[in-house]
Amino acid sequence: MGMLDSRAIAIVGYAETRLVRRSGRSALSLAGEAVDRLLERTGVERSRIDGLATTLAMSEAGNPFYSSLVAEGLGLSVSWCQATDIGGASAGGNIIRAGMAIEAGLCDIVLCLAADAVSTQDRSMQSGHRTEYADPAGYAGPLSAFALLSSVYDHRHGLPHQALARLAVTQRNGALLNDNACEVLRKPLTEQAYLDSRVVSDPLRILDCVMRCDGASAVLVMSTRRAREMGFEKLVHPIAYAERINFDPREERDADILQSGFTDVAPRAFQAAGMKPSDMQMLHWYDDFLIALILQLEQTGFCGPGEGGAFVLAHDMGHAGELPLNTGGGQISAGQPGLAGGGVNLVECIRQLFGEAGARQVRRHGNAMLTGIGVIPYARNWGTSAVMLLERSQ
Amino acid sequence: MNAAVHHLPSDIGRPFREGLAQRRLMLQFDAASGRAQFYPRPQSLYSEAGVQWREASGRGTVEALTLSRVAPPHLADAVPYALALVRLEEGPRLMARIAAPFETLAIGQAVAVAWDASGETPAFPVFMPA
Repeated sequence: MGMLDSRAIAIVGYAETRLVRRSGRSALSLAGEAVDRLLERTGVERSRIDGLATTLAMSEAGNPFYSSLVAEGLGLSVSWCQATDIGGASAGGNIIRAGMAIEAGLCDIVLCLAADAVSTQDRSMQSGHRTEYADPAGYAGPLSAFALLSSVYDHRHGLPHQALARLAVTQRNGALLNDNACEVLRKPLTEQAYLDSRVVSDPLRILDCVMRCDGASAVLVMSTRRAREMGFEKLVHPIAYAERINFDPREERDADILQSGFTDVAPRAFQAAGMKPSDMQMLHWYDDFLIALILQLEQTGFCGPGEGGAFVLAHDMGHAGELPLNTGGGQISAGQPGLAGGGVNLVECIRQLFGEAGARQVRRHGNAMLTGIGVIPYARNWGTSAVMLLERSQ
Repeated sequence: MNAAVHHLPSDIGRPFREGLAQRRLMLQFDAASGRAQFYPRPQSLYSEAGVQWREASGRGTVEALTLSRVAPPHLADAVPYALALVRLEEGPRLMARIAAPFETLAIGQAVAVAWDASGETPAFPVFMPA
């Protein structure tokens, strides 16, 4: 058995900062706050942490020694260090990479970190096709890509406007119950207000898109054996994981731009766990754009192509509903702290599995499905897709 | 940030950029199968036979279409504009503006490359309804 299906890896604690629009702080400052909180909550001494996996930060993107900067800044001397650069899939990717390093005997206790202050300062510059072929053509960033994808969906199936409105409101209701969500987003939203919101790039509305902010999250990973030795009672195990980088570069999938790597990673993850979509008790899905949630529903086996809208309208996806989704507001309604955005979904996922989500706690919290979406390739669907299935220790 | 490094484009795309100066849309083709690829890559995506550069027909169809009210800095004054993914006759997708009113455009529409003389030098390809 591998480390996942044998439940050999455990997440023992999590912490996050509030998400703040233009905090004026740095990624390291935010990381320090999250780590302080994590150590306090877990009672683990900083000197026992001997592994570090971190997402990158757009606010520090010019620094080619980023993970070392983080280790030095946080006073960590580690025997294994990793910067995970698969975009929004990095926070989940950190967990699995940490598990691999522990299994390999390279380290014992790993801090998995996600911190970015992109709304205060963006020092990122995407060399390659973005600057040479996309920007000159009129590309205005990820929202251009998702507007173009949405236009194809609209042409083929008709955009499910009412379902998108439902998703916007459902997640906003989660943010209203989440003290860590961006303050500017913690205002009640109606479906009509979503439908009436400004179009930024047809057919994409402003409320289809995430708002960038600053924030950090931190998660502590160790072997299940070590976690038991140290007396941790609440554990969450990653039980299956699959990721795909650079999906279908030769267009062998019918040259269909709507197809993403989720058509590959979801079946692999479900098969590895011996589970199916209907076994999932809650979804913590990467939500940089609402249409990405519709496409994930259709491509991870919850429904068929073109049926995502009907699925949303047929299911209560609020925290008290039958299939809770992004219960803290997700990134759409809590904010996207740049390359640390995947940490928003990850930490809410762990908090719910631990049963610590307070007023928005879901009823059934034995397992969860976490996803990540990564980079935007040239003129294709997103390039990186990742699925992790997690389970609360019995 | 080092501005000189920032603005130095990859050597891989030099034939494409030289083509722009002559208003020729240049593509890489797999030397064995003849399958085209865009954007320019260091290898053929389709075989180990290498790539050959040839001029494209400039004809294609609109595969995805948006009216962008946001823009990169050099096009800030051009918004709103139609931005599309054009499926070239040779196979690959190319991202480009369509120099026509958005209301007159649709997915599936035939387009042909046009060269906008008013903007940058050399012009980046835009498309017009064919």
